[in-house]
Amino acid sequence: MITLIQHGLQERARRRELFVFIALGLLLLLFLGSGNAALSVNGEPITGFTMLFPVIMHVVNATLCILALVLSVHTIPEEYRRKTSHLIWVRGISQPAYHFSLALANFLAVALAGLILYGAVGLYLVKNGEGARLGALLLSFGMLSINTGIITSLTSVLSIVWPPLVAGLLSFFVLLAGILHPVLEWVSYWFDGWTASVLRAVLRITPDLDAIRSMATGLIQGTAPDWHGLFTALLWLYGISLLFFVLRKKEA
Amino acid sequence: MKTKIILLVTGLLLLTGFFGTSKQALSERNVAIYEKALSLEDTIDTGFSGYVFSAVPVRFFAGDADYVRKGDTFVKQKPLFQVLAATALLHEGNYTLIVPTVEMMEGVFSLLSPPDTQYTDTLHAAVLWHEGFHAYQLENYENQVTALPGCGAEDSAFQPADANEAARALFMDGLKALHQAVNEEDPQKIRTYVKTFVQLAEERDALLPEETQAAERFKETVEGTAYFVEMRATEAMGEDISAYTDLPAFYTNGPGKYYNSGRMMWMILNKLDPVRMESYDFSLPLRTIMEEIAKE
Repeated sequence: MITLIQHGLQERARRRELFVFIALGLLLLLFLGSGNAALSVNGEPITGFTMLFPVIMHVVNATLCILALVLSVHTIPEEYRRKTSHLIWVRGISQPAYHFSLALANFLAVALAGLILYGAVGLYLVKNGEGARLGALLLSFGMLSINTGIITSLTSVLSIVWPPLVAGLLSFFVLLAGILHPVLEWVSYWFDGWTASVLRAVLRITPDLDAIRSMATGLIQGTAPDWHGLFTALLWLYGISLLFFVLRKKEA
Repeated sequence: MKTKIILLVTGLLLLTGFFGTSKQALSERNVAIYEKALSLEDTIDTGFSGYVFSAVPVRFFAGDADYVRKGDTFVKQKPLFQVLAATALLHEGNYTLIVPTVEMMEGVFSLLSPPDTQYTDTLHAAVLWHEGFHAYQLENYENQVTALPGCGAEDSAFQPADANEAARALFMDGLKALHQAVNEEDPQKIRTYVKTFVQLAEERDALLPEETQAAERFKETVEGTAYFVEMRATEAMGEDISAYTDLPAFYTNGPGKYYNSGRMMWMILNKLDPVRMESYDFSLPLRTIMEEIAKE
């Protein structure tokens, strides 16, 4: 299994998407961190560390989640398309272990990209005289990895049973709803009737990726995590990962 | 087999953590805010001697649950209605104060307000007094309040006023006259300012449909008095009330501005006729009382 993960990781390292996303993420962080970005909310400019830092964490979270989706959506279908899977079965490796290893390789590749982006966040902290917060950076990185884990495993399990386009769209829907969870929740309270019912159903069937982003940001800012929110996210990750042991690819 | 055991144990641990950390009680912060609001009861002067804050049934809406005050504690219950609104609602025969938790209000504020503005615990305590007052209003004067013209008008009723440039300018002039009256101590001068206000208001009324006029008078009366109570609660907590008392620098669309004009009318009545204020029962709009004062 470790060989499979190593091999998967080497393959992912050759994918240009990985580097494109790292470069895009770094460029965005550089742009935001330089103070040249003219961001505003309700006409009020967003400047200074306390206002800008959460925005930076939003960017890191969204970049890594989209990267997780992009890397994962083709991985399993591509392996079957190349018809190399029989080489795995003859070695006595089960389908769940194979799929799980491929997903884990993707997760590690995204984590690698995450480490690079977090390095940039660390530099931003030091530049703004917030070097004392560097200690919490690793914890925050671990926290945000729950989100990339959720998206990686979700996209991977969906791609076991559905073509990449369907799996990608479904996963993107979950990603978008997950990142926009607080906005959707707020809108659901603003309406009643079927609009509110649909929104509440969407909220129930999608993980709150923003809660984890918020906790990852809070850890650096010195806020205690919401333990219930953390367990909820870990249960999502666990529940989706269980599907690796349930779903089977028919072609095999 | 070993994998299955690991998975099972992991699942059980996560479920234990999930249920172990799930909220069964109202957050300490909200409890503290409610207790802070309760503590004002002995010091606050709302002008409505019948309004006893502690007597108003209260529910905190927390999204997935309501926390209902029962005796000295808050009990978790199914949400009464899942709408983000601070209001008074008839429930089980009593008007109940229903208010989102401070955490939810903060969330809305962070989404809608400029980054440097914050929803504070003090403001939430004052909002409790404001919405509690609506519960008192409806519990005791429901017939009078619902009989007021303009009751039940939609926000669209205010659009003609917001769309008319001359009406906008006249509203700001009227607000200035009210502000001068509130800050004046001499009753004769106060009456002069009220006369100016009524004159401007009549000029403005001629520009607006009757439906808009009625909706404005209703809001000024029902919300103006509640906004006054909110201001008094803020003051009783030792907070700066300039956000309430300063003359607004610019016109704002929507019904929010009538809270302020109504508050000023109530304060003028407070100064000129405290006896009438004591017996006020919401059967007359505050604007009508201002018109009567102007004629005196």
